[in-house]
Amino acid sequence: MLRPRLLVTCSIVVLVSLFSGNSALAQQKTLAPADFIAWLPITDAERELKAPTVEKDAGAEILFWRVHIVDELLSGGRDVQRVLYHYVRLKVFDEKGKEKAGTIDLTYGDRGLILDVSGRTIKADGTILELDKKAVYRRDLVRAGALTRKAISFAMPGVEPGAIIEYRWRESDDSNAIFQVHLKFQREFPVEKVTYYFSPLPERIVGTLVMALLPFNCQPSPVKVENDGYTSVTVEHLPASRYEPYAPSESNLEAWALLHYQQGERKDPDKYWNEVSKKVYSELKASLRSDNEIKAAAAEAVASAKSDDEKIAGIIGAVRTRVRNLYDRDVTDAERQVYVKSLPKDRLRTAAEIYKGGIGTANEMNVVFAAMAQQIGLEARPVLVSDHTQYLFRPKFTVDTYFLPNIDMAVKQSDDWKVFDVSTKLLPPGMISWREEGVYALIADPKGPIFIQTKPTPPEASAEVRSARLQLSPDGTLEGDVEESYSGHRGEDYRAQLADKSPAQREEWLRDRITKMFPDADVTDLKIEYFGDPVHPLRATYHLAAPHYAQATGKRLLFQSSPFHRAIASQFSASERRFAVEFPYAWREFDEIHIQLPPQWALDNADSPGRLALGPTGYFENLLTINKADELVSKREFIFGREGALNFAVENYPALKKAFDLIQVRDQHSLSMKAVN
Amino acid sequence: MPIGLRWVLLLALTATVLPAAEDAPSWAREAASQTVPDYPSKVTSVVLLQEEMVTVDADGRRVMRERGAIKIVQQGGESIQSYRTYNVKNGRIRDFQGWLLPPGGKAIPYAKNRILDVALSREYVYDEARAKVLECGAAAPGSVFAWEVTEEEKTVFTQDRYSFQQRDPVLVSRFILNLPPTWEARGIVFNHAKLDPQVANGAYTWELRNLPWIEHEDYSPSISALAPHLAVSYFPPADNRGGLQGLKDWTAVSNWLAPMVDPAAAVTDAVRAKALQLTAGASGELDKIRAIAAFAQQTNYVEVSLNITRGGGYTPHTAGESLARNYGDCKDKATLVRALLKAVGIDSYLVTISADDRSYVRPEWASPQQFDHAIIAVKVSDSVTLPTVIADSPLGRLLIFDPTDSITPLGSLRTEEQGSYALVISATGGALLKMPLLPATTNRIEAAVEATMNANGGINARLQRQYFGQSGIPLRAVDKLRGHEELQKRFERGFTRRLGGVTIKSVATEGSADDNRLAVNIDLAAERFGQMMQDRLLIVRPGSLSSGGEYYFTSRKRSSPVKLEADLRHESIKVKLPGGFKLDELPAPAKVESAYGSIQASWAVRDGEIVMEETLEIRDMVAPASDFAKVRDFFDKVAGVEGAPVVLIRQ
Repeated sequence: MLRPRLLVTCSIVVLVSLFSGNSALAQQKTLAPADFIAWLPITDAERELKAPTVEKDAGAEILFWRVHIVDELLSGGRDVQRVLYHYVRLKVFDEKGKEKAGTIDLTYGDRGLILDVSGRTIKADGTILELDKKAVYRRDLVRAGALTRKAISFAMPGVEPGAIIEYRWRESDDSNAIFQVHLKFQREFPVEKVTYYFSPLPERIVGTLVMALLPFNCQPSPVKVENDGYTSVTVEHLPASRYEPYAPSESNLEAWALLHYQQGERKDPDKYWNEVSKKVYSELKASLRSDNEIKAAAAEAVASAKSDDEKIAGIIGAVRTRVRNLYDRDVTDAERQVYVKSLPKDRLRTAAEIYKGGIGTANEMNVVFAAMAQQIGLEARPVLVSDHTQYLFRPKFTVDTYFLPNIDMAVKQSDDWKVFDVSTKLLPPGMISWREEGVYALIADPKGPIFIQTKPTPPEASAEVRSARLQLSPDGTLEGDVEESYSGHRGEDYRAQLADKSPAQREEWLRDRITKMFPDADVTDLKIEYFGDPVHPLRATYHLAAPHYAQATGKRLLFQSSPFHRAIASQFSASERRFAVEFPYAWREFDEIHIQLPPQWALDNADSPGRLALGPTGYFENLLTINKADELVSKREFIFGREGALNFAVENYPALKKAFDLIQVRDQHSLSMKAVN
Repeated sequence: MPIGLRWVLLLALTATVLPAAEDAPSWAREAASQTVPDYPSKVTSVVLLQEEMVTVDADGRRVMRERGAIKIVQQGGESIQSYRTYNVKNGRIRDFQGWLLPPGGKAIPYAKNRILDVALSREYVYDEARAKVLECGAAAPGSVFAWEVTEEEKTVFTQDRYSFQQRDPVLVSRFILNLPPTWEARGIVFNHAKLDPQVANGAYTWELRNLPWIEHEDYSPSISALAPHLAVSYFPPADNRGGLQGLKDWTAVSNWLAPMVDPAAAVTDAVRAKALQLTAGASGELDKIRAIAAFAQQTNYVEVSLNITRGGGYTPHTAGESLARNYGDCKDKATLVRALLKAVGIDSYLVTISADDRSYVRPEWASPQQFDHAIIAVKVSDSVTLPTVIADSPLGRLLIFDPTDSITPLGSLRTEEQGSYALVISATGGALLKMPLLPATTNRIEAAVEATMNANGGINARLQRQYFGQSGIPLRAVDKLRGHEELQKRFERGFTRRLGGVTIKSVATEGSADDNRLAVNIDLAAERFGQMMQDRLLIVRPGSLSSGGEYYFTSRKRSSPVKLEADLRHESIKVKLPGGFKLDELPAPAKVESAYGSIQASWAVRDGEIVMEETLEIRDMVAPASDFAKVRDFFDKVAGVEGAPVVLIRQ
């Protein structure tokens, strides 16, 4: 989903040169910007605007949103406080805009503060109503010890269709992220124009670092030096933030920019990554310290292993058994407190310490894994991995570890590096989260960086398999034994849903799920196996008795040939779509259902739903046959996402929707039976 | 839990363990030592003890001490917490302590910084009510979470309400009320057999034991209609130094509220001018009311909750203020309407009601604390004959209207408010009245479908639906407040669940305020609506194009009553068939009458068209759990009608 960003590179260069000349001026600016003191004049065009310009059905539209970012020096010039001066002007067009825009909530954390809220409404007839300061309410949404989450809330007076409302607030931010600012360009309303004004931090704070701007999913205006010393960047015509199922993540979809400080212009990404690689490796090396206990545990874990894959699986199993994730539900608060107290103040814990303690973070679990892998002669390296749910990383463009948020371990097998994450306890050993599949990863090696792309798992690795031997009675009851299994990511989905439940509740959950498919059904002998053992697929078996499954007409019995899919609606109901479709992972569904048909009844003009080719991504097929035992055998297979074909551009949505619609139609396929005279 | 587990985990990591304060108190240890009976497998925790002790001082100040102990039977339940609301202006939480008693282990006291302090509402612009929350956190099955919290409050209220349980089973639950000498208390326990308090030395104690689990089930009445709860009023002497007033009946409640609500409805010059402007073109009484009602409905709803313990929840802003700001909460909007009406010579009353549950207000307990919403009753002449008129009230002929509901027009009333008890407030002769319950015919749906089927079983169809009254309100709300695109998506989701391969080509709406009707025209295409078998047999289920209305039960067992809401639908569905087919089987006409509703349906094939006519009526009622099999049987029959197939064969 990366867009070409030629402009980005230009922006950086321009910014660097501009800032170097203006830093002295910027340092003097600690006062509020002029438009925070007096309202900007309302133009005739704004007053006369009758309909939104960005999105035709919007109930309200932000005419402009201006943010001045001011880094104010505190106490002797050694500390910096970042202050953002926001100014929003919005026009209301109809009732839904009025409803949404009338009340404003500004939330902030304990490291921030919102002050100096002011606002006014300019009614359609020109009347101006000022926001009463007494009607601006400040409250703590949550207070938890020293932590707070606060909100400023106010209702704008006299809001009506045709009115312009505008409000300003000052937001200070004491967080440590002074060198990185996420500039958000989109809001809940369409934005006609958003402008950020900024100045670089003083040299005594940033040293030789220079400021740079990385825009994403938008084309900002060229940076501009304003008369008052600020530099500005503007983005125009932005739609409202929206949700669609299976859409790319917000960072890959919405317009935003990272304003940050970096060492030099990073014109040579290779040099940067080389330094990162060495630094990350040396940090891990210090933590890999083992002891006899780890050595013995590693030896025991691989004792019966015949291949490197088996050895790795053995080690992963050993780590998962011995070290619990700090955030697992079965770790009590008392244990967490003991964990916190055990942390060294000035360094990371070693593998030996983590192993002995028995509780660790995901990263720490991976450190133990690397240490054990080394003990049995495997080469292991820390690996920084990108994430589907955040902005996708490209080494030449996004030259910052900001875009590599996950730390896993890579092990060299033959000539290839393979990525492992021991902390994904709901997946089989060797599988990583789908968030980390098919993305760039940086293996930190002392000799220099190694970039790889993690592989997406094939559909067969995440399978939903069902087999059943059922009997259909003349009264329409369908009865028999069913077995279901779920592997890979599909198994992880179900295991995650069941993770917080007791064994009895898991069975109730499954029973509820089945009776939603078969109302009135009796579900007995229900058993769930391998819940806590992701080496095996999650397995469920049960006996089903579903009355009224087949519908009796005067002389026929009608029933659907795909009992377990017939009531599942297509995942895509909307006829129109704004965003691309991204499936998290590839999967396979396979059902083999045997139905013993009632004696003295025969199929009447029966046919099979057939096959539906889906191009390289997969296929759907449902074939019906009668076997030697006179059973109807329904074999249904649906494979999707082969060769990593999981992302579909929005122009391909109609074809994608059509495919899923046709699958729904085929899953509703009916058969007819007639009594044999 | 809105605060989120992340906060709790963060706290768990940062909170310090108290230096072995004090072991758990004896009452907690005693509660924890109880043997717990066997419960159904879905039960994850049991309340061992729930106790609320309220001590009222002679000046009306109340001190409430709550004790609780919950045993975790198995993992998998919702997060367990102690949750105590308080008022920041006239109250405080004086003390809050909690302990975790692990099975067989030593009690662990919770650190003070584990207690969250949260705003009660995030939707309100401001709310002075807050809550302190102590989460049990991760604890092994068999552990007991115990807490004691003391709250104090200065209030003008002389009543209290206590729920003996939520949904978890309870071993012991009690409410203790300590009153000064010469004060008296009267209580009523709802959803339970009569329960008298034990009285000793000014202490009144109501206690229940072994309360069973209340399972959450679809179409169930609200928990307030199922779980036992106590409503208690106490009566200070007339000369009490707190100036408190006991409320013995609804007239007393009305008299107590009237001075709070009436002054704000005073007519100012601005209000008068606005009223005259709004009614300038109105020709009569009803037209004037309509004009003012419509204006109030467009006034923005904004909630600012202040001075609750002094009756602030019942005291509106003045009509002048609300008019100037064009926003207010329910009582502000109701008061604005009253003032505007008064300015044109029409009297009205403020009415308090429960917003979301028509069964919530119990006439047996005269208390303002049963209400959370305000609407109005307009005094009208005999010429006004809308369905929401109460013709024979002690206050005369009253037209009921909810100005907070920006969608429901004058003459109708939100379903949740229909049939509810509500208090019409008047300084002279206020009364608790039952709000109008509109017949199903006023909220009916009339649907006509004309579809043409092709040789593959696909159809192009035009659906014309007329939604009357409340049946169309959810759609109007989406259309008005979320936009037409969202309305189309809603229909797309609905039809995708019922039909395979459906494409909605267009959705057009047309509203008519006069008869409170919404017309929706939908053009759609569905692939293989009829299934062709071997190019010989064609199976068509015309009922799947109906507007729905069925209830869907998955379980065969039921422990709570089934709440049914009045519904009336007429469907006329015509499907033009492709040439060359003749009828082979037609469903037999259906006619089912039951206590829960009726359905009548017929099918015919005429002139190459399948014609289905259906009328479904569901009665407004609460069916006891013991009738569940009969209720389900009725709705199975409804589903059978809607899925009934017509079988055609190629000629």
